[in-house]
Amino acid sequence: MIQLMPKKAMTYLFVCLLLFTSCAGDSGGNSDGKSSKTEYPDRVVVHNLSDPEGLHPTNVSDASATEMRKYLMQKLLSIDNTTLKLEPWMAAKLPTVEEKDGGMVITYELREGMTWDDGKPITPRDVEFSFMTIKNPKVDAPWLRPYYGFIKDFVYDKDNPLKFQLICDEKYMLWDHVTGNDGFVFPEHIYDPNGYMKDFSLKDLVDETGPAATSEKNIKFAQDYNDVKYHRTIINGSGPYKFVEWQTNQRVIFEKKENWWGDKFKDTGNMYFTTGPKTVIYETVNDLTTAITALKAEDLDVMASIRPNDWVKLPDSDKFNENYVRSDPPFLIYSYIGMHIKNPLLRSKKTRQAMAHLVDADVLNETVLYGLQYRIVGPISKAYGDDYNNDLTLYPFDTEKAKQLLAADGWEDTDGDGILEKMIDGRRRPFKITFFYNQGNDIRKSVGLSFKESARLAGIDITVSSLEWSVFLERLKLHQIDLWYGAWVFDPRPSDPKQIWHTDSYTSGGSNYTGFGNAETNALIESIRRELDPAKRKALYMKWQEILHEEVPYIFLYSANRRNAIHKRFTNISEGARDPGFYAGGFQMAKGFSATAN
Amino acid sequence: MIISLLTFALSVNAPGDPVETMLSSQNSQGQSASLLANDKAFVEKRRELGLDLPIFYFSMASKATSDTLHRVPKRSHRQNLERFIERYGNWPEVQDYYQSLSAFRFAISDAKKDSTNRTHLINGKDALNLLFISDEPEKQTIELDNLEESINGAASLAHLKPGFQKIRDSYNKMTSNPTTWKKYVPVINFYGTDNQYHRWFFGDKALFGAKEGEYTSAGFIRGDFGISYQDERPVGSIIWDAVRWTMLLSLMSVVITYLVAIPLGVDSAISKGSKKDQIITTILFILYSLPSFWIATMAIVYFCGGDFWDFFPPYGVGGDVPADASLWVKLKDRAHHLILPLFCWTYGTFAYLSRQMRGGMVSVLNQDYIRTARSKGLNERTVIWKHALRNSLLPVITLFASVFPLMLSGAIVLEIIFSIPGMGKTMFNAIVARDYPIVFTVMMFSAILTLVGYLVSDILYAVVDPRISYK
Repeated sequence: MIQLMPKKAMTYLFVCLLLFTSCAGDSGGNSDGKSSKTEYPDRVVVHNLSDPEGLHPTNVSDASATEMRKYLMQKLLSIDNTTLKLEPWMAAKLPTVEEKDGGMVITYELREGMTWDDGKPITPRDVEFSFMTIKNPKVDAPWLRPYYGFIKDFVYDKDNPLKFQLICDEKYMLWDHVTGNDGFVFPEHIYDPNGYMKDFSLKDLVDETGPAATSEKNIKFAQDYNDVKYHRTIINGSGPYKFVEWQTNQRVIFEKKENWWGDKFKDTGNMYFTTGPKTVIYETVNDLTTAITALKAEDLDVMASIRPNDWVKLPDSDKFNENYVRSDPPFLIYSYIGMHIKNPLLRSKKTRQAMAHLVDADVLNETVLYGLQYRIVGPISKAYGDDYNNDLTLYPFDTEKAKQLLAADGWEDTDGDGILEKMIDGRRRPFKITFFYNQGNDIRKSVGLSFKESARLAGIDITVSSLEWSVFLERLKLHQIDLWYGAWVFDPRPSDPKQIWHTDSYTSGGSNYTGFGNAETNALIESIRRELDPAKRKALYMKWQEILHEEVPYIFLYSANRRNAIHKRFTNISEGARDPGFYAGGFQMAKGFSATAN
Repeated sequence: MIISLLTFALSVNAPGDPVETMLSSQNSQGQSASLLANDKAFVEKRRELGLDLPIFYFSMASKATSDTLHRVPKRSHRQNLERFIERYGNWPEVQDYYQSLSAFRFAISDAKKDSTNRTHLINGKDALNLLFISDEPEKQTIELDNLEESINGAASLAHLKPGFQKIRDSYNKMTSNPTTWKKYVPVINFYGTDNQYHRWFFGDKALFGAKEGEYTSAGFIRGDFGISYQDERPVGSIIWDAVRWTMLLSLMSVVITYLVAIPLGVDSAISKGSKKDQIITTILFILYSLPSFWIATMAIVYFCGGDFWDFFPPYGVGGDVPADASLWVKLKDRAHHLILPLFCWTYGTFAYLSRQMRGGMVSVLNQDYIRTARSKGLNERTVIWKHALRNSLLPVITLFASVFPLMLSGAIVLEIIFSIPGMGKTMFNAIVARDYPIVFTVMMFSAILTLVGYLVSDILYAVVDPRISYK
């Protein structure tokens, strides 16, 4: 009798549970899907690991924002996912460049008939306004500003209202990428509704401390322009999709525009003029195991950057094979072990070469990295262009060779403790050094531990230690880390070595964490940057890679392919090295599949 | 109030510079103009966030230290200056040295590069950089020599010599006049109300007639929690977005826990030592010892349409239904999404609570008045649920106090596994990104809610047990 009450409660609960579970069948709409299913809603659902910082045209730089804004906004030029070549997008044709007075004059012409959503025409003034926001010192986009440093004036063509010229005071090899593909073009009348910038030109903002930049109007403009509303609610561009809704930490929804101006350019060959599903949804799923399950359950159509361990197991799943294909286009990435060469222990080239011989990269790839990586000799990607230097050979794993190099460099175990010592700057120093990786990255930890083992054989004592990501970065910038595991992801454009290798980037808190560089290498970097002819640049790149290979500031390890999964019902994936390896806005229904009305 | 001081102190001492994180400038070209602009952006951002203000109303320090050190923008530089003070104890001289270094930094980055001075400029900049961040005399001397050597190396750098001489002089002055005794003389500096703590807690908005743009913050106690460093949204709206889900889940979880655990506890207390008691206890303890993140992952893999059964959606809180769907459809969609997270959130607490209940009940059942009640001929049900239960609820009520702060803190791991946009995840991201406005606010509210929890449980004590009163 007394158990009646708890039993009752339990029964209620159980009934409720059953009720909800039985709803599962019909509400999901996808659980009945055997292989016979051919009809799907007209939409694509893309996995997203975390929300973007915002969808502001200039003031955000994270990967998901960069990816999402491609649906909503456009640039003068686009980069084709597969060929990685620049193509005219808002521009009618590729720009031209002339060398003039040690600088450049770049000429663009816009397409005819482009309009914003409210029907207003897109004019060169919108382009100038967009460039001005980046040059504006009050705008919260300081990371973009240095790239635009060489643009000094914006000149309208008297005869052709769609034509304009950019006057630059120095030569830069990435002139077309920077001016055409770095910044979006967005409507002045939406992003400056009060017309604060109406009377200013780009030239006025060249002087960052000049009267225009510090004027009352500009301060008011920046206050409004930096506001959170342009991050999350007012998001407006000329792209094929419009922003519909952002449910924080859940999903961001875009919808295809009707009567989009770009529809008349469908046949130009530019992939961004082909439009696909009616709705594009970016679903935020933070946990990767959960995301893989959601993928198999067809709750997600596209998933990028799948973990290596999941990637190798996916083909074992019948559900996956039934509905998805794996897609592995090249990835513009490389990983490395970096050395701070101003550290007395690592100052000598021979020592660093010995270190390179002590990394058993091939075995590591087969064991902890699932065999998904491939070795590279330098920072230039095999996947991009033909600037990769094939004549260089990798440093093989060879402890004997390492020992010889160390001995030749003056390292010796004098006290018999198994650790080498050397007189440096008048002090006898044992070869003890700490290898840092970012906390939580177990693959990097394994690499460190293996490195430690093999270095021990040669008499080097490595301690493996981790740091939380932001502390890791801070210490790298302060040059308090002497040995670390890192990786760089880069854009599909000719490699500009300045950021990582120029000595200016060492002293100013930039990304030259190694302290590498001297007048000679700086001069080489400068000449690469000033060379506008790709053929001549190639020769410089070859030499550049030789120097890095010889000096070993980085032990270059691997590059890899992307690991994406895409639903079988889609074709026209635009698979390629361009981030993220697909363009969902161009997906078309494959043969045998059709889209339902909703 | 004490909590607010504590949170504040923790944030000031945590590693990592929020401004650095926000600007995260790649600084790729490193030309002098951009160096200047970057420094400016840095200083301006600091001012915007109020980080250039003194930390508190007063500081207790020694006579050697500065009362304006907080104005030095770069954290690494600030820390190095502190080490100088520790070493030499003469702030005016340390300050002179720092200023001469800073002036030189701009001079050297504006120097025109040519083929004769390239190497010298590079070495000079390196040396200068190290001067900013090292304090050991040995290193300083070496780098000073390096710097001198590099500017003497090229004729085109001759104009930098006076600047260097200033550095040399101020360095010598600093090292030759150490006033280390000052370190042992305590001094209290007063800063008034224009400090970081005051601005955050009370705000600098005038009580009456404040106009838009004239103040930076109305202060925590007036409901202005600041803006997030991450995406510049108001903290209040970020927390509201997240707390809805956490509150919903915790409230439901509490209700379920109490609905299940109290009867279970009572039941096993009555049949203490029987087979049934043992079985219930064993099952509960097995549940208790299974980590919820593991169960959650397993549940997703097996029940959410992966390679096995498809009963539940694997993630999220739903909401992906047509806007014109009926309320029933919307509710069903939410409920369907929340069942698994709710289960994982809840099951672990069954054992704990029901054990508490059982313990309380067992001791009450041995009391004389229970025997009296039974001997009066009351039926067993009345005895248990009316007489015994109320008296054995005290430990359970004590636990109830902890429910309130839980509503705000959420469950980080479960929220991430199920992609629930709740507080745990928000807080975790805020901590990682050094987003102190969010961290402060959540900690303050947790503290307040803990107090509220104690208050509520104190009141409940009085309700269930007439012997307790607060007169």
